[in-house]
Amino acid sequence: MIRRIAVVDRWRLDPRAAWTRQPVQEWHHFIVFFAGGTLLVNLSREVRVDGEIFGRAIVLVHGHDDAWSQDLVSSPDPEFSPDGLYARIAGHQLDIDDEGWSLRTATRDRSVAATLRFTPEAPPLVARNREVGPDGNLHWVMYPAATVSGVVRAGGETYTLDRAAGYHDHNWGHFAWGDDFGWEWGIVSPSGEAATTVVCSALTNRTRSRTAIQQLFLWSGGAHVWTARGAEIVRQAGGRWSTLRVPRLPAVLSLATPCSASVPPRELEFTAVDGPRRVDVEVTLGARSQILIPDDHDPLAVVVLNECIGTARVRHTLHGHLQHDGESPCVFEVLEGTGRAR
Amino acid sequence: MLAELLDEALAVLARESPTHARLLRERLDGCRIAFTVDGERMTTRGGARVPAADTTVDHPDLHIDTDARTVLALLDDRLTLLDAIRTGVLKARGPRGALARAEAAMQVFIHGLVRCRSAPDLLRKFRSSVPHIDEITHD
Repeated sequence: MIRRIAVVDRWRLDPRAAWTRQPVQEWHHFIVFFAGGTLLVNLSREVRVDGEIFGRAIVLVHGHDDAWSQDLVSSPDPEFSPDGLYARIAGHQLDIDDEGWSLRTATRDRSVAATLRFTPEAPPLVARNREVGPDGNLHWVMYPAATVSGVVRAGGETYTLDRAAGYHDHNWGHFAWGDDFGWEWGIVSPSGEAATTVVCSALTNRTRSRTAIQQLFLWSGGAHVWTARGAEIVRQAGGRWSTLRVPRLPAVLSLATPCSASVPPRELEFTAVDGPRRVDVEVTLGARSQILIPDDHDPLAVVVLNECIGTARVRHTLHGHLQHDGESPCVFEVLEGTGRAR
Repeated sequence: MLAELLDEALAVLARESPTHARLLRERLDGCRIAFTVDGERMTTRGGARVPAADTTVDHPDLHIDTDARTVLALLDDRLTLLDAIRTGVLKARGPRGALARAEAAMQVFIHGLVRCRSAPDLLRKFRSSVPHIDEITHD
């Protein structure tokens, strides 16, 4: 059931459909929680309205010393095999087979380099045809409980990983950056004997003032046991960041966007209840970095993707009996389109 | 060398993001800016570089004096424009209006270049032209 990744998770490599004005977006996203910190890698492909194809690779490491190492590189000539199982984007390489994903990545300054093998520990969750914006769609395949083996070099240290906790998802669809949508998404890494894992996800409008879809996914013992939706979830947000100045990618856009209105919450609480089951998630975010994506509609605007690192406590009860109560690292991502230069 | 790169960047902008090239001209509105980078002087008028032999821009509206290391630190977000001016590694001389126009134009220029497929090559060329010295950073 877990296998057949080469079928389920290959690059879709959709061409841009003539009937839509929208570009094609597709990306594979990887996270590793390892002894030195948290590593995020995102490999993406975009087919613009004029038919041009771009590849982009993003590498972020947040170390336990609170330092970020990061890089974003765009490539006008990314390589993809026709079967969607191989991609090479500016030296970053992803091979997909039925058993997992092999990833080779490095920042251009070589401060971070990783050779990793991701293996899923639970079947994927697939969400098709989410509406984003007025004329867009987004498809999502998520492998929340992956294990990762390999080597990461970061912060001057070399870490050998043996079944470290990881996450992978794959998104593709038709939309333009700057369309009227945003999202708040987060993964709480597995903890406890049952490897309890939580993913929180919300699709919103551009300014995040309205929520279209809110979900909380729970895995326990390697199985997806619950998806809480809509009114089953109570979300509270608060907290303040000590500084508005954060590391950004691409760095050069900071010069054009010195201030950004996108400030995500620092603390989040989710309570999900449905009959006998209850899950409480308390998230405290400690560091963030911003990826600034040029707005496709406004030549002087950006869409801001906040990548936030922190810890979360998850408490899971069933019929009043405690199933899990533990704290583990988390990554939360907040996308909003309010980053106009000013 | 830098003058050639500036020419190339303006040509890339005109070719690959004409919207930003137009906005750049509008923001500058004929403003004459003289740059001196590591002693190399170049002048632009309304978003186009003026040939060195052109003596009509002997009195630019704004004069910016800096070095390539500082430009690279700004591009890499290791230094803010405000800190560059405050610490004197970038000097800007001219009326406030010209400075505001130049800053607005710089934002258009950056927004345009990041949307151009040739921009990574330009940045690579500039980076390789800057000798590696101790990095400038801000706290």
